[in-house]
Amino acid sequence: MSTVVERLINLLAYLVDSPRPVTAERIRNTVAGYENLSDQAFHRKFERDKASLRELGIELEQEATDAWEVEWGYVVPESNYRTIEPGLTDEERTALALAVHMVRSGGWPSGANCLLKLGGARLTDTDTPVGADLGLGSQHLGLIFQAVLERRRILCGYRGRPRTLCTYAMHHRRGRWYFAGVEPEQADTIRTYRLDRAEQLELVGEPDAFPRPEGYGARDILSSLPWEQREPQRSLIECDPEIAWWVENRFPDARAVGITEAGGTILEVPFVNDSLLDTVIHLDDGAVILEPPELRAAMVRRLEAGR
Amino acid sequence: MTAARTQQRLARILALLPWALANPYPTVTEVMERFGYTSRRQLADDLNLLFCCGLPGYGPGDLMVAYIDGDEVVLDMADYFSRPLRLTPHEALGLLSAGLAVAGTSQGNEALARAVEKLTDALFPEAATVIAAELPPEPGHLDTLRRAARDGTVLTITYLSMSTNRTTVRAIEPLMVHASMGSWYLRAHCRLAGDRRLFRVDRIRAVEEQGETFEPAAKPPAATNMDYTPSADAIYARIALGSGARWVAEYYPVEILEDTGEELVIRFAMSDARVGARLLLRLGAQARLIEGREVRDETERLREAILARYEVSRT
Repeated sequence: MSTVVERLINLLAYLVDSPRPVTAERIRNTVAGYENLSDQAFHRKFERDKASLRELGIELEQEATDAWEVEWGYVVPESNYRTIEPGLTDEERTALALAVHMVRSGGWPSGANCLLKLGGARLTDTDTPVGADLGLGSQHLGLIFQAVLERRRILCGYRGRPRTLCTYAMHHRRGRWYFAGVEPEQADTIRTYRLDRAEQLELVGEPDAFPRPEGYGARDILSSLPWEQREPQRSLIECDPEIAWWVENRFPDARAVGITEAGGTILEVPFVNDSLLDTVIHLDDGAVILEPPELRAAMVRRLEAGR
Repeated sequence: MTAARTQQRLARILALLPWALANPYPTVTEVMERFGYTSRRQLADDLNLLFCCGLPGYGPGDLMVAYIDGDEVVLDMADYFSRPLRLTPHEALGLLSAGLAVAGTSQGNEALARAVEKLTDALFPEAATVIAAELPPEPGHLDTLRRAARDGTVLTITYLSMSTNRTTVRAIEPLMVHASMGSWYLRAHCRLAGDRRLFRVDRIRAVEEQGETFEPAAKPPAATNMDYTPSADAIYARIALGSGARWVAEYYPVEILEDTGEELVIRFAMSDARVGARLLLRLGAQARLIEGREVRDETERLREAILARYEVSRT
């Protein structure tokens, strides 16, 4: 009795070695592992096997066995194979493997396969206790990646409305994947979308369906986020000594400009919008906004709003 | 064998085949290292399996030749498997983004930068501009914590608590550091709490070595996601979110009770009433507390305490 792995290897060997498409019936009668099955049992097993292969990136396709297209059979198309050799050295492969290892421990269990496909790698330091979550679990990532690279349109639901989108670039930041693109009827307005909010995503149409604006790249996605657009203003915040150090680190452009009689630190902190209020609220009564007056007033309004 | 393990075994064998055919008679050690076999026996099992596979007919001339000969791995009669498989889009993106993200941290090195460049050039020349991935900036103590976790060094940290904004000093046994949702976290056994705790690395003000060691885990603990799971003594509040506050339901793990269109009613769990109080103060007029006495009291207390600093008192 052969195992699943043996059967799948036999199936692949037969398909890859065969000069022409192979019908399901022929597979059933020829490949070791499919013997003595009822029609239904064979069908079920074969479908499951195709799905297993698909998961590994091997997509079986159907082609006519002859010019008259009377009969259809399975092939493993060329597109399943690597056409370009990246030419990585062992050292480079190991470096990549460590990066993948770090990201895997943050939640990408199937990540090991990609390095195996590139010829494996010596892992010297797998006990490095560092993990990073790049949000690679999302099933939609492969599709968006294809859409961006091949410039294919996607169809998805977003904020309760179905949309066709031409996507230009994608970016992972702070635990989320964003992608940017336009709806064809509003081609001037590039918008940013959050991948985890896109529903029922699918690729539609052919590659090269739209041009990417010249010079547009993933880095532009961030600058199109609303809070990244405006020129920063300066604020002065008085912080208790216990938390001043953290505020100073939290805002890379912050600097201490004075000390109060009570021992508090006055920090100059750049800000672009009201989200600074959120940060200051999280400091509880350990901080107070001194300037500008509008921001100070906004804080008081915010606090009094829920009274 | 579970379906996942079957898939993993198949993936490894299908990757090993083209490589071993292109690099004939590799040593057992090299194959084990490259493809992550943990024992010679495991590799021998896979080769034995291949020995029973091949082309229909399945006679001696049809089956693959696969065995260990002394220190060498012999693989033959399998030329139809000589072409390496391509990466799926998801795998390619994962590989690329892992490389890009880690290259931007202190864990990156020249070899990684070169690898990323070669990958991009070979697979998708445009990817360098249209794909970007980054990890949160590394707080100052990250490297010390990482080394302590690896070497099993007991540390004393000065920590500014997230929930109370109060500083404590505690001895910890670091287990691993982990980047998630824009921050670096440290998972450690805390001797003060006598339990495992999660610390946000940017809130660690000072780190000192104790001159004491502990036995680091053979394998770092699996990084679980950073979502908060309510414990038995969690505090609950029922909150109605206006249109400007709906993001709360996506950002926090909450239970959605009702959506009237105008308002989204959620059940919010927290370990400390202050978490809910700060949230309500942040949301201002965008949210309304329906139920939750502890949160209500804490919100009022905190509101007045902050307003007092603005010299505004209840009138």
